Amino acid sequence: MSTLPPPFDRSEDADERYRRASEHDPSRPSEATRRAVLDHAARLAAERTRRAARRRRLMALLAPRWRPAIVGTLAVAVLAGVVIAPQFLAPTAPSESQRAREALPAPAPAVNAPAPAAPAARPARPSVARERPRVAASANHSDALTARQLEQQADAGAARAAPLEEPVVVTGARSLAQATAAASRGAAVAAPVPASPPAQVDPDALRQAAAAGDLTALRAQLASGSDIEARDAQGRTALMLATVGGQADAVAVLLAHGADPSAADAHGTTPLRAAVAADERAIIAMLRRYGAR
Amino acid sequence: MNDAGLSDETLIARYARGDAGSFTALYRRHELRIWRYLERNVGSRATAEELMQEVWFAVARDAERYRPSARFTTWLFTIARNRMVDAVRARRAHLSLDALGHEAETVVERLTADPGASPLAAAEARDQAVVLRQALARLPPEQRDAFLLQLEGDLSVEEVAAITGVSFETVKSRLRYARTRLRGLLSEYA
Repeated sequence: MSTLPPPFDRSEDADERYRRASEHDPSRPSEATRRAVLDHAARLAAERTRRAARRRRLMALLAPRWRPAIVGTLAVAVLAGVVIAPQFLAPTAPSESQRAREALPAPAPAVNAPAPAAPAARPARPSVARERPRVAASANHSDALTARQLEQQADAGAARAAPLEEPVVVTGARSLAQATAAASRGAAVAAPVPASPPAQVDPDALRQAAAAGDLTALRAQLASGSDIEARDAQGRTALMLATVGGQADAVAVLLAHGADPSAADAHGTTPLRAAVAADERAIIAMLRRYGAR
Repeated sequence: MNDAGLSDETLIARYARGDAGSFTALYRRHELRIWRYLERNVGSRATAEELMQEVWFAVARDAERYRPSARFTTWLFTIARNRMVDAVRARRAHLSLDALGHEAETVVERLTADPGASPLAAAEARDQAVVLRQALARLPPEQRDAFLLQLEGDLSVEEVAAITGVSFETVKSRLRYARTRLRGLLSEYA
């Protein structure tokens, strides 16, 4: 730094003068600034090196020899999700007894109701309860009917029941798509029964299904035209067996299909008495709504 | 590792991959140019020190985003100018580039304390540096900025126009006025 800078020459270009003056300007950033900048840059570089190492390890994991295992695991996970998720996502249908209760008019004051004029005459029952057997009654003649006619009858029943939100019993003859179409018309469609071959008429099977609370078999028997009032050796109807077995949902289905709520067995015990004896309160309430004695 | 022969673009790319030595080489290569651009524009050593750190921190942070579609120096001076303008607008809103105090007296003190300079050389250098600063301080800020960008950044008129966001003709005009004025001012102090 011992060289003397030449003085400005008046004829010199401004850029040249600037450069010459700058060359002899000892102004520099402080050492602290330089150190801070370089330290900061070194820290970032170290961080980048660590990140790059992590990335390399990840890429090594994704090497071709591991790829089938990773893809397989992912595929299994996706498949499991597809199979399991619908079980959690499917809407929960209300129980049969709940839907039956909601669909019925206010309960008839069975306790205070006047006694019927004649023992043979059935107490007045809700109109819905009278409507439903028509489908079942028609189904009794299903031997002579085509599947198409059965479907039309079932649809007609659903349409009649729609304003009252009566649960529509979907027969095996109806496809899921048809059930969905019925729902879109406003009918409260019960959980559709998967398509299955029509059940054979078997009153024993009907009673067994009622006693066991097997709603699928029960609906199938009703749809196939089994006699809802058929009795076993002790004079018990399907409704009585469902009541004794505490199967509230089966009781609801049978009542909705027009089962006689007061059909007594060979000993004169009515379903209502049996329900009271067993303290089946939900069943008692349903039977009373249907005017059971 | 000898980084002398490597281009700026290669060095910044290597730094982006984690090579700290490349950044040091880049810094040493451009330190003085950025420093002069900042200090001569803002006229304050303290402010220039702060800006110097901010500019190089930004370079280190954004190294991975740099794409060699533009020259490294263009990118570097763009960062420097943006930081400077931000500093003037946000942190020192009451100041402008024009109003930032040019600290000729602190330059004198610093030059006097330079251990490498003989008293006479220091005095001469001090004189020229002070004259240069005083001349720059008397330029309109836009002209000073354009002139310093071109001289310190070694940038073309097109590059200065791109960085400052004005037209080519405007930059040419600013540079012409700056040079004419500087010539007169430096002759005046000679």
